[in-house]
Amino acid sequence: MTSVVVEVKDLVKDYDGFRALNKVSFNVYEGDIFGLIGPNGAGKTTLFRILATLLLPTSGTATIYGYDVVRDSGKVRKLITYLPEDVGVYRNITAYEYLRLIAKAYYTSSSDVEECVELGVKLLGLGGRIHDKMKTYSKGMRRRVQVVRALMVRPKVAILDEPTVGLDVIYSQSIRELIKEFSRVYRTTVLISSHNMFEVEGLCNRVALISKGRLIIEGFTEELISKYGVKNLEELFVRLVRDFNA
Amino acid sequence: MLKELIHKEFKDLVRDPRIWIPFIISALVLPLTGLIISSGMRESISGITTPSNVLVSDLDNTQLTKYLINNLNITGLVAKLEVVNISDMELLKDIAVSSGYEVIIILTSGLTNTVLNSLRPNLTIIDVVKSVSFIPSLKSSIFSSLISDLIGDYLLKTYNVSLTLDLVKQPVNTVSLTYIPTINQTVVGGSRIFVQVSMTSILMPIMFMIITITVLQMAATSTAIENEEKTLEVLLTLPVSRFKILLGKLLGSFAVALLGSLASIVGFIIYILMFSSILQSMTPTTEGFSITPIFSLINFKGMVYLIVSLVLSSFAMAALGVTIGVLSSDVRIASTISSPVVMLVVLPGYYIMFADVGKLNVTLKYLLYAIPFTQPMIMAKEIMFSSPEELTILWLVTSFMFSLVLILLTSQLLRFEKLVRVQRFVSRLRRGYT
Repeated sequence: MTSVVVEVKDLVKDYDGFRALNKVSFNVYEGDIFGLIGPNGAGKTTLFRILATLLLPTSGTATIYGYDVVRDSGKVRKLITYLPEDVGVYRNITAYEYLRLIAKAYYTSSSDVEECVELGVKLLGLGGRIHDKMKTYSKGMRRRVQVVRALMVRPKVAILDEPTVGLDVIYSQSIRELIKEFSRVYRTTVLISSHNMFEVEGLCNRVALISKGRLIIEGFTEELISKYGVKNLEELFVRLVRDFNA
Repeated sequence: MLKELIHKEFKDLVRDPRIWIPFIISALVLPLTGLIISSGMRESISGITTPSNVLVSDLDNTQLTKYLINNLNITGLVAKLEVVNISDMELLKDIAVSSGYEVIIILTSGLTNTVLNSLRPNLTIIDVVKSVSFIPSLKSSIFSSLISDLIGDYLLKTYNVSLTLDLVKQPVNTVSLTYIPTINQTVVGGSRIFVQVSMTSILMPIMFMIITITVLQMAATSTAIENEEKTLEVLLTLPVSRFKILLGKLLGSFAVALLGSLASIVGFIIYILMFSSILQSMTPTTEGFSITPIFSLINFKGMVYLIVSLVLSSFAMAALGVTIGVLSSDVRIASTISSPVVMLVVLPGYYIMFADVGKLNVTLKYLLYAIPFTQPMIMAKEIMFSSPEELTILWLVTSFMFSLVLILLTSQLLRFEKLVRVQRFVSRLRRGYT
């Protein structure tokens, strides 16, 4: 039996009178690639930011490996990495310098740092261009740098907010493969949000659908498709969100 | 269609607060700048127009010198005149300082005989100045012309000596000196020297203003870019303390600022050296006086304090810049907030530039010293004419404490939850203008 890694319970988040999350509860298990899906403004980024210790919940709890994201935020930050949606890069430093900086934030011994950077370099696969300033990179290359940055430190939980947004098919596919392979090899639990249902269906073993801050359904991807008698996740998404909004 | 295009352009521009807020700021700032500059200059100008206290050492004691002294008294240029017969220069300086004389005129022994022999005697006039202002209140040139005219008149009226036009027009050789009692130094030259001093006293604050503003904008922009690009979100989820993140940001910006400051300081020192060497070559040799080259007016201790002050000021500006950047969700907002903050540096800077800092009231002077942004500007002007005050160390500590408090306050802000709230508030304020 796999253990619960992320436990979200009755999570509520209010912004100036607006309820972004309304009593959301779900669990994520070790080794899961967990997809959080929902329309724009559903509360996905807010939920991820709470898990990443950036935002404080109004009420309810969220724990990662038993550590509360509010009370034990320092311990949680050692276990997780977070990829914000549309995150940029430092234009005038090189990808190699950036990976090194990140490695040093997680590891103290120089051998660990070297090992981590080596993994990052391998995952990035930029060859000699890893020593170029990142402003010379294409959008896809920059995104890949950020995804690799989030994975190479071998976090227990990687929280990736729309990791392939705005990328072409080739880059999107390479990033999906990278995430899938990494999770399989290192048993990293991955939480992903995405608007690409094809991507979520191919990548995530479990999904949760939220809309207007409320959890609509949660479960194994294949089981949900089969249970609702739909062809794919996209059809399920459209049907459930439409019904919920009706 | 042109009309529609013009409308579109006009609306697009006029609805953007970044466009019209600077216009409003300019409209408000320019009159304020004028007020500040004019109040700074008022004292300087009044120093020129008011009658002077004059100490005359009459070492010749003849009918001619008595004629000169009597006529000095009735010109309206003299408020108080004392005549002594003292050849000791140091004693004369002491009397001048203790009794508040601004000009010392030395009528040398044998002056009358030299005049009667159709030769030009030397006339030594010393300005006693305590501080430098935009318009140096040096009276030596006024009294030099006056005495020249009086001797010319005297020659024409009284004696039938062999006169030439040149002799009547310029009957004396004037040696202008400037005595600076605060550092007990005498420098050759009157207004010519002080053109350089005035220029320097203006250029130094301008240079410091440019440095501090550049540091502020650099730190604000780079931090705002972190917000805009969401790289700050990544930093805040690393297992690193917020304080370290802030300090890293601050010290990184500060290191760049320091390099920029040092480059500016080196450039400035070269500027002073070049000016000094030109003036040295132009300065006539004067016997009997201990003369100081103008460059050495800036004492070593003062220069060290000034550099420390500039470094601390850059540090404070970097801290302020980081704070502005933290409050700004994007670069445009950082730029909007920076503009009025820059005015806090520029306006006092203008005042310092044009004011006679030696005559400032104590409260204002200490306030300008206590604020890290104005401290190097006022210090730069003061160290030219005086040794650093005993309180200088205290002012330097105050400047550093200002930065520390700012960093601590900003580190409290550096929590994403608070940042989002504050940035939303700032954005709402900005939108509220439109």
